[in-house]
Parts: sequence; structure tokens; C-alpha cells
Amino acid sequence: MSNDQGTPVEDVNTLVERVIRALDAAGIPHMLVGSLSSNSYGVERSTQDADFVIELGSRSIAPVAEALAPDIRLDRQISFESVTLTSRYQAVHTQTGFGIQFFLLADERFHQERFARRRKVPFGAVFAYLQSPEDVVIQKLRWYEKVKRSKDIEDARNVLVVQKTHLDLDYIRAWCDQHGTRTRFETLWSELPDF
Amino acid sequence: MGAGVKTKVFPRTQRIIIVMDDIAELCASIDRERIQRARRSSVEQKVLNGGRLFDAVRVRMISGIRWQFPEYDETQVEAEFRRRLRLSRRLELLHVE
Repeated sequence: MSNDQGTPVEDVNTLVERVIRALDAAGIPHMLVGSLSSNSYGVERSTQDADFVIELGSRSIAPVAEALAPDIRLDRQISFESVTLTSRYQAVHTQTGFGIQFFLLADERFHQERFARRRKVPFGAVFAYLQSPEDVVIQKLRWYEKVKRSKDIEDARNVLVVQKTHLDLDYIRAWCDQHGTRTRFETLWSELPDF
Repeated sequence: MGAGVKTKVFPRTQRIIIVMDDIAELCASIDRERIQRARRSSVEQKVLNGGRLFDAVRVRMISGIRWQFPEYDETQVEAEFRRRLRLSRRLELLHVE
């Protein structure tokens, strides 16, 4: 792909591959979340960001920032995300405006469990780690309860309807009970179209 | 064409319009097609499609900006694209029920 002046513009999947390579080289375990992971189990939609959960521990983000520079600018100042209530580093690809967010793995039991359950999937020439479809649903319902963003309930519904017969419903129900989202889940489940 | 959808041709202009007898039925038919297509695709394919869709949207938005502002140079076009992207992120956060 190129712009009108013939300058090559890197496609988004190549950018994400570079990010995964940088994380792997820095020895930082990662998991792709957000719409790139809900796309994988539901119905695809365009996204403006790649969201990663990273287990930084005592490691530094600096080697990742250096590996991605200069066209991907990573802000080394950590910020707090009000929807997910987690800390994150933000980066942007200056040419396309595509965003990359690195959420720090939280101590909370659900976050630890979904990270432990992540699945390895080929992503172009590298491997990404995806959260399970059950964990996408659980987390999307949780955000929806907090913020009422329509895209969260839509993503949860799409994963449920596409994956319908492949889901561990007991696992989903157990976490929804803990998060206070069980009624929302049951309503969504009972209203799924029959196809 | 799915159930509930008919076409009507105007003989003089040869224009074709789609007549929807039952919009709910049409919506369900589109939804069914989307879901079935999603079930046919592998996780490996779909994980790459979000990025591909962004690339496709970007190309179309940039064409639209060039059409709207033919006097813009490439730097201005890119700046306007990034401004619209920021706006769309903010609107997404406001899109609550």
C-alpha cells in the first residue's frame, strides 16, 4: 500500500507483527485483547487499535519502545484507563494513526485466569496469544455493565452466536455470577437467533 | 436476494429499486448471512481481518478527504485523516445506551 506520493504505508497487520516481535524479543508475555480478539471468535469489524495485555513484571517497556521507533511512538509515561480500570502504555503509528495499547496484567483473579488460558494462534509470520471466546464474553459483559458502550454488548452477542455450540457455559456463568453480570448474560443467551 | 426482498424496474429510466416487504425479515437474513460467513472462517483468518478492514477504511477515508479538499497537499490530507480518527475514537466512547 502507498499514499499518493508513492511513500509506502505499512499495513496494520505488519505493524502488529512488529509489536509482537518486539514483545517477544524483550521477553514480555502478551495476549491480544480488544476487538482484534473478539473479531477472531465473532463477526469481524474494523478497529483503530491493537490492544495487548502484557505481563511486564520487573521488566522495562523501554526495549519495546526502542524497537518500534521511530514510526511507532510509544509514550513511556504510564496512564490509567477509566473503562477497564487498568494501567496502560499507549503507542501510535504516526503515519496511519493506528493505535497500540499495552495494558498491564492486573492482579485480579479473573485477569490472571484469562491470561493463563490464552491460546497461541498464527498471526502472519509470528504467533499471537488470544484470550478464549468465553473470556471475551465475560469481559465484554463486564465493561457493558460499567459503561454501557453498545459495541461491547454487540461484540459479546456476536461471539455467543458464532461460537454457540463450542462454549463452556458453566465457566461463563460462574464468572458472570462473580461480576454481577449473570442476568445480562442469560438475557443475551436467551435472545440469540436460532441459526 | 433473500426472502422479503423484491426488485422493481422503471422501464423508462431502467433504474432498479429494491422493495423491502418486511424489513425485519431482511435484517434477519443479513444477520444470518454474516453469522454463517463468520462460522466458515478460521480464527487464524479472522484475527487478521480487523487490521485489513482498518487499511481498507483508511484508503476510502483518504479518498473522501482528497475529494472534499482537492487543494490539500499530502500532509494536510494525513492530518485531516488523523483528526477524524481521533474524533471517531471520542464518539465511540460517547456511544452508550
